[in-house]
Amino acid sequence: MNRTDFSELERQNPKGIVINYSLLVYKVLKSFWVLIPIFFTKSKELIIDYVVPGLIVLGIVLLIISILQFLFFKFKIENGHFILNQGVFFKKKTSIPFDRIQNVNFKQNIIHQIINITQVEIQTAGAKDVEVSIKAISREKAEALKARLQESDHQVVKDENQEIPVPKSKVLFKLSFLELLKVSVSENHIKSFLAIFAIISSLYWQFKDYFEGYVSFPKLVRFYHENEMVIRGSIKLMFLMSVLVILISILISFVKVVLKHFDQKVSVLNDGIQLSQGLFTKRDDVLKIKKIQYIVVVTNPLKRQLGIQSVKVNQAGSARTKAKKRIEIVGVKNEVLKTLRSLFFKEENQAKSATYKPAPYYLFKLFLFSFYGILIVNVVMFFAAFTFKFQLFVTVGLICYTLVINILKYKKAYFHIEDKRLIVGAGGIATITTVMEFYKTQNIKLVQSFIQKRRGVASVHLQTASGTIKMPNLHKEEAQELMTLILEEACNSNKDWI
Amino acid sequence: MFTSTEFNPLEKKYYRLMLIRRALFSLVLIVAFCVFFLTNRDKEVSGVVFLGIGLGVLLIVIGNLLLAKVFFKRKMYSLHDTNLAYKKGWLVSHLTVVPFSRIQHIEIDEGPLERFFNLATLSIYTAGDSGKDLKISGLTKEKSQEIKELITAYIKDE
Repeated sequence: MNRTDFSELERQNPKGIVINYSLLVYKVLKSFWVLIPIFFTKSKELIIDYVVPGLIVLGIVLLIISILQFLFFKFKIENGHFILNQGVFFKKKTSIPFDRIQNVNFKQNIIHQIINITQVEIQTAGAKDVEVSIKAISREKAEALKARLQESDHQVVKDENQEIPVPKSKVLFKLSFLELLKVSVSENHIKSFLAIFAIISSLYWQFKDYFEGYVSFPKLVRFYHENEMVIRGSIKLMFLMSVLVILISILISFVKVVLKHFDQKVSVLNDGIQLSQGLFTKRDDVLKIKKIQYIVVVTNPLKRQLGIQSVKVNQAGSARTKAKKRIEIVGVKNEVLKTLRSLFFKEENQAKSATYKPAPYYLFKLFLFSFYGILIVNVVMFFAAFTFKFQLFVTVGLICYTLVINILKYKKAYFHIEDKRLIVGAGGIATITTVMEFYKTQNIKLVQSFIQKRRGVASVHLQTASGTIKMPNLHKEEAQELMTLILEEACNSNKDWI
Repeated sequence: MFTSTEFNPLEKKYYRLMLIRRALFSLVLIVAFCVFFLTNRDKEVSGVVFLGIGLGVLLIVIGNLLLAKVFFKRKMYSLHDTNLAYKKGWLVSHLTVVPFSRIQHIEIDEGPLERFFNLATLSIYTAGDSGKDLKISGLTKEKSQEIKELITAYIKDE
């Protein structure tokens, strides 16, 4: 039998049973973990007599299910279609024509890595969106399958690129551990801090009943009032606490970055780039240039000092899997960014170029919203009976913060056109730059509220196959001008948006 | 481009349809209020509460019916050589323009009420976020069919 033919229906690698089993166990644990503490409150006999046998039976049942899943999961390739049959009781047949296939990506979580197999994800786009994953086949087979699935695609690309031969798969850059460290130190730690906060508060709500009577918000407030002098006296403690929080935030950012971007490697292919990264779950993603809708470059003052930025690439994809289509490359140096940009957007003569700024009304609106926010915070604090001094302290702090952030936001907002390309600047402390070509536009919206109408401003929303780009509060005439320019290109361009 | 003179209004019949829809909604609201009133009459709820809710319901019903005219007048469409534009909205006005070349598929729907008035709803889908595409109600069935055929022909020509 030809191993790379795929003309006959075949099953996954038998190791797939392990993957199915672990997925099932994970699902069961995820839905019933709340019950786990109950087991510990019961007597020992009960656990030995009922719980342990129950768990063994459950384990065996899950094993049988995973074997059945494996047996009934078959796939093949037949005249230009990828065909997949699955389902034990409810049969499901999926058939995907090659030209609908967007991407074929590889993924390996920790179990895949241990038993040395690969998960293949087939992403599609079209009126009826389907997403298919083969949980377990060997790496060689995965590569062979990928090659087969993208056969027709490659031929087309070869024809197009005959004049400019590009060497196949050249490594553009690799992220070393030190650079990974730099990336994580310069992350936005406020996010990590909020993550800690969210985890703690969700835990609090889940175990609220246990906590009731021990700790409660009114009690905390009372405790604060009773011990205010002591608390305020211990500035040292406060300092230590904040250092601790910052350290924890950095640590969390670090863990997050390492988990996702460990061993990040970007290679240049014929028609796109290949990105592999991840510690426990390794991902291999192919970004095809023609499927890229727009890119977002994010940096902040610290990152700029280190000369790095992150690039988020937005690809066209089915609505249901939108999150996966936003792929992030971190620690991108300036020269690498230049290479990437020249790869993604073919340089053209920059004949026409103009820059638009949002109307001053935008700044006014930002301040108005901040004002409402501060008002709400003050009302809440008033009713929560905080001391006047504390309230004043928080309010002054917030005013200073919003003053700086709003002015930064207004300064950093711009809309630049360069030939047939749109560059949108945004951001407060961070600087966010979105680059998009006009012809990727799916539809355009001009939105104007009655207040905006009075001020003679309007917002433009550009819909792409991968999300919306918003340009808020432009002068009406400029908004219309921009809209006409982009529309002209979107209507008349013979370039395919996908 | 995009000045209001080039825009076509919707069918006048559609205004009647909007009124009927809004009247039906009002009816449901009023019935709900009556049921609420009858089931809670014996309980110790002060008359002020009923009066307040009743006035609120009345306000919504009248406002809803009066605003129909405004919303109807604001809805306009315009067919260009390479794109379709649609305007709507009272407090916040939206102008959506969809290039023909980006249209994935077109649907024409007729509800029971619409069929009575010989009207149809034209839905246009692009690859953008679902729900944010174009939906034009209040065209005659023939007109919507005409637009559909025009766009389909354009896409095929490309």
